[in-house]
Order: sequence, then C-alpha cells, then structure tokens
Amino acid sequence: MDFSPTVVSNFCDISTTGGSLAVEKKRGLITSDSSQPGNFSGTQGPGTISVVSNLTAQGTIVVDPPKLTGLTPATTSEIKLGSGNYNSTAQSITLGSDGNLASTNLHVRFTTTDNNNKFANGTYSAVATVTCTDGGN
Amino acid sequence: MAATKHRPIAHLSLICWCLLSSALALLSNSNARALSLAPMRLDHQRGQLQVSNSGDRMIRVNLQVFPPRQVNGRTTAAATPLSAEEAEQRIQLRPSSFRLGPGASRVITYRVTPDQPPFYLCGTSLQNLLQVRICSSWQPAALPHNTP
Repeated sequence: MDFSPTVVSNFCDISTTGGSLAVEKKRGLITSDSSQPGNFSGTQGPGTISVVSNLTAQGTIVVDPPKLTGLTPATTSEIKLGSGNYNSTAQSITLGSDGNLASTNLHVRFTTTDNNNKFANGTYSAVATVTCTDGGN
Repeated sequence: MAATKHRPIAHLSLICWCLLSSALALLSNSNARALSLAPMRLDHQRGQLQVSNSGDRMIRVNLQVFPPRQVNGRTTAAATPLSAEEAEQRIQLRPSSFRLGPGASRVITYRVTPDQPPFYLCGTSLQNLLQVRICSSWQPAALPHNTP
C-alpha cells in the first residue's frame, strides 16, 4: 500500500472565518465593526484569523490595510486587530512562544469624501491580506 | 409546589438552549477555511513544498513570487507579486494554481534558478474578507542540492 508523502519542516497554518460589511445610513462609512456609531444597513461581523505553526519567536504575521472594491473609491481604508486601534498601515503580530496565535478578530473600516461623502449605490466588497513568514527580522 | 412543577420545564429549556448553542457553534465553524504550507524556508535549489487545506471548505491556491519588504523592522513579502514571466525566471514549479478539497494536501516540486536575489514563494488563497498568504523565503546562501 502506498501513502502520499509528507514534508517534514517548519510550517505555518492560517485559519480564517469570513466577516460581513454594512453601510451607515448616511452612506459615508462601510465597516465590519458593530461598535461603530450610527445606524447601519446590513449586519456587521468581524473576520477572524488564527495561526498554528512551529515557528516560535521567528514567525511573523503581517496584516495589510484592506482594499475596498465598488463604485465609489474609499478615501480611508483602515484595519483593527483584536482590541487594538484602527490603522491605515500594515500591522505585524509576533506569534506566541508556542508558535500559535489564538483566534483574533479583524475589523475593516472605509470612508469616502468622493460623491458628496457618500458611497454610491452598488455592491462593495473588501479584502485584507494576512501573511505568515519565517525569520522576519 | 408551583416551583417544583416549573423546574423540569426550566431544565428542558436549558438543554434546548445548549443544543441550539452547539448547533450554532458548529454552523459558524463550518465556515472556517485554512491554508498551510511547509517548509517556510527554501534551503536548497531543488526541493518540495507541501500545501495543505486543513479547513472544511474547498479552496483555490495560487503559488506566486514576491520580492521582500520591511514592515515594522521585519522582513516579509511585498504586497504585489512579480509577473508570471519574472517568477518563472526565478523558480520553476508545476502546477502554480490548483484547488484543494477539505483535508487535502499536495506536494509540489520546485527548482530555483541559480544566482537569484532573495524572494518569497507564497501560497495564496482568497478566503472571504481575507487574502491569506503563507510564504517560504529564498536566500542566495541556500545549498545547491537537496540533502537528506
């Protein structure tokens, strides 16, 4: 009987669950964060990431600012990891001494000054990039 | 007496609530997606990568080449991949795009062209709100041949 081979080495495994976006009533804000003030159309929900690896302290997770796709471009694109603050630049997370990262909420937030500060009618979607690398220092 | 009569109903409600919570937890977990890659460093000019899907949904994986960049003092893969032609000049591997079912994994043989500058070979997968990338680094000092 044959068994398919395996590669014995350092590894990184990222698990995710999808989030959901909603738009504020005045249409100037699209976010996944239900703690944002205002009345929203749709239901906000965070994306989540968790990591299992054997990288120890050398492992790095980088989360890049999100990109919004839709008719009206976003003027600001921000991301929030866990209970941190919103940020428009790439964020890095150091893995725990066990090489893991517990499930962490990830929120996105977009505003626009185009089209009289309103996102035009249409469908909008967002993507944030999460990267795992080794020896990143 | 009235309280005694209500106690079984309260217990039944608690059991139903627990079952409902468990069902909802399972439902939310069923949306989990995952990508795994090894090794995280390409130590030899020729070798094999293993890409796995430990989630419970089918995923599409692309293998792309990225130049390095610095984020908060740490080196990681740049945001934009090299073109397919530039990538091919640095590393040869087949296939570079494939689907992986739940629990499936695939071993890919690669060969790095000699005298290449540092780069990252990343397995990428679009998973709802997130583009997941797991990246193996290539350093020019790597050994020319795979050794046991």
